[in-house]
Amino acid sequence: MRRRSLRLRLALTYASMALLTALILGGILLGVLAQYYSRAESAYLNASAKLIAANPPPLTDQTALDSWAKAAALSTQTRVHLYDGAGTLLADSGSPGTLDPGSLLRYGQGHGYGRHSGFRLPDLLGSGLFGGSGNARSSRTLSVPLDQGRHARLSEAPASGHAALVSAAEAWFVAATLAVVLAALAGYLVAARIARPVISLTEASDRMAEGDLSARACVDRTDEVGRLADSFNAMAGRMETTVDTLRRFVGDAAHEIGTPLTALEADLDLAERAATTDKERSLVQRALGQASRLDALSTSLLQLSRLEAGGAFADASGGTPRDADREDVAALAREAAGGVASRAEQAGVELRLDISAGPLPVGARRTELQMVLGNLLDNAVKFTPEGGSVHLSARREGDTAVLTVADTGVGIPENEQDSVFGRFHRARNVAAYPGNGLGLAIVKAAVERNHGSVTFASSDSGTEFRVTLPLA
Amino acid sequence: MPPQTQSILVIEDDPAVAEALVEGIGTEGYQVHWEATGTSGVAYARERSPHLVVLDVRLPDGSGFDFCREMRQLGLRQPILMLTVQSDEVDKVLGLEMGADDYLTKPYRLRELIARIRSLLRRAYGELSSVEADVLYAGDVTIDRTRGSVARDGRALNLTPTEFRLLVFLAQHPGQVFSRAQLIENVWGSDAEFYDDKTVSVHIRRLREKIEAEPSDPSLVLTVPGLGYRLAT
Repeated sequence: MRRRSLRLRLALTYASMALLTALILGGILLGVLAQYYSRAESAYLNASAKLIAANPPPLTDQTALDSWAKAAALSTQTRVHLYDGAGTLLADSGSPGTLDPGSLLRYGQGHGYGRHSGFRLPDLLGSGLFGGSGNARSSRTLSVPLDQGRHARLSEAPASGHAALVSAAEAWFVAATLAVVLAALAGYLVAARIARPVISLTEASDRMAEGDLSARACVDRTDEVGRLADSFNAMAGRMETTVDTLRRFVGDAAHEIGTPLTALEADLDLAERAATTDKERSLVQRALGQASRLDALSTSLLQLSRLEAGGAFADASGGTPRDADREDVAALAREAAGGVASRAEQAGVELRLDISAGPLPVGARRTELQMVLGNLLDNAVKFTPEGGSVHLSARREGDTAVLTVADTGVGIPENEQDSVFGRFHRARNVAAYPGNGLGLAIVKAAVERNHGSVTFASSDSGTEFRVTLPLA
Repeated sequence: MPPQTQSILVIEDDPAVAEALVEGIGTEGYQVHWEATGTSGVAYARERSPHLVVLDVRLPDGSGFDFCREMRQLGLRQPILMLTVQSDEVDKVLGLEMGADDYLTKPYRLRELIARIRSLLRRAYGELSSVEADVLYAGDVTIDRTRGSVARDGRALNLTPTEFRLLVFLAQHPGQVFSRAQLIENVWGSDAEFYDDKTVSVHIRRLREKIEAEPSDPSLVLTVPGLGYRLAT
């Protein structure tokens, strides 16, 4: 929505500017025209009045009066009412539009033109651009004083101005509509030109925010937006380098720790064999315990730094990022269950499996799915007291594969549930258990890297983790 | 051929690690020779033809994968155990495609390494662990059937007769999965009808507590969910 609003707003602005201009222009034009034609109509009536006053009606019979009225009406193109001094109607020409011009000729030359009856002259001003309104008549009236107290009232003069006005208004409307539409289109195009690089920038920064540090804005321009894009790209590049260096450092450090640790553990193993007293043996075993803690820690750090490095990070041996394969989550779940079964049995924890018989193919990296399953099952077995159970299920739900690992363990304290996925976070109630607080951070990073999501529900009677992955 | 006379070449650049390996593998009775570079290691392997090569992936003069391939191209057929630093599966698979027989990811335990060496040697030079053999192996545990003794790291382990029979049966068929019913039939035999699945679980648990280096995380006697048990190969 927000991405379109610039185009929409600019199009609307342009359109309203065009509309305003059109309204002002149209208003002035039509006003001037109306005034002009109003004066023209008055002048026409006055001129007609002079003409009639110059040819007063005869003082004869009714037929002569009627003929006069009709002749007057035809010659002035108005309706002529003739009144006597007392205001009594003497003659009415009828509407000039219905008068037969031929009759005027008859008045002069006697009768015999009956077949021309009904002939009409075309309207001088045409009938407007869109037809109709050709016979419009003015609503103005004018009294013309005549001799002997009689007077004529002129009305229904041709409203020539009206037709012209309507015509002009119609033309104006067409022109205004066209102008508004063109202006809106122009506004939209201009906005689109401005918005395209902005959209590209927005997309790049969105991708960046999602963790894809290789995102760059593709803007090939030299204006202000182009400069913004350039500086964004420079910033992104710097950030990527910094983050990569940091991650590489963590990964390298974990590597480097691995070698002396191997030597240390081997030496401690030898020392354990060489130990002659129980005291010596237990001391060496304690040292070995700490060494394997370090072991696990460096392995976890290495895994986490790899996961968070994302696709952009080539590993230390120069390998390239691998594409995800189609992996069967059901088979991996069975494998992971096998990996933890002995430990669970030895700890007196029942391991129950509910794994889909059919394959659950997902597009993911095998090692990362193994980390997810391994860490969740490890935790479940570790935090479940003897006599409890761990339930692993893998099934299809719509177009996703859903893995759940439920235990009857110690649970996660409610006030710590927000931070379980954090690095090195360990809940207060698990301080006595071995662990480094990286397991769930690895789970989350691995799941999200493979376009899945992980949630959990926990109470003091157990915890259930739920991993959803899109099926391939 | 008794394992004690077998020779092992260790190609590892880090002296601290190498020293510990040489000593650790040596205490198992193998003849161990150490080379610090890939080139010298390959030369030694070519000249002396050791029974097994332990090869580090990161070497000062190149990648262990390349030296592994080189040895195979030279026609050396003995087992090669790769030591990798990365938990990356790609590296492992690559290592095996290069002709390595097995791999271990650093950091690893000496005990684990020795167990792998033993199993590789057994596979390559005569299967000592068979139904008829007098001495059986389960990881770093040695079972002497004629003497009825079990030892780990040279220390004797006290097993009950049932635990001993259970271990011997599993060690005679390493890697094979047995259901609880099959174990009752083969280990408890004629009295089988008096025992149930729970009996097996209890004995397995106790056996692990005695023979496993880390009973809480068993690596020898493994549970196979829904099927039964097997001995790690």
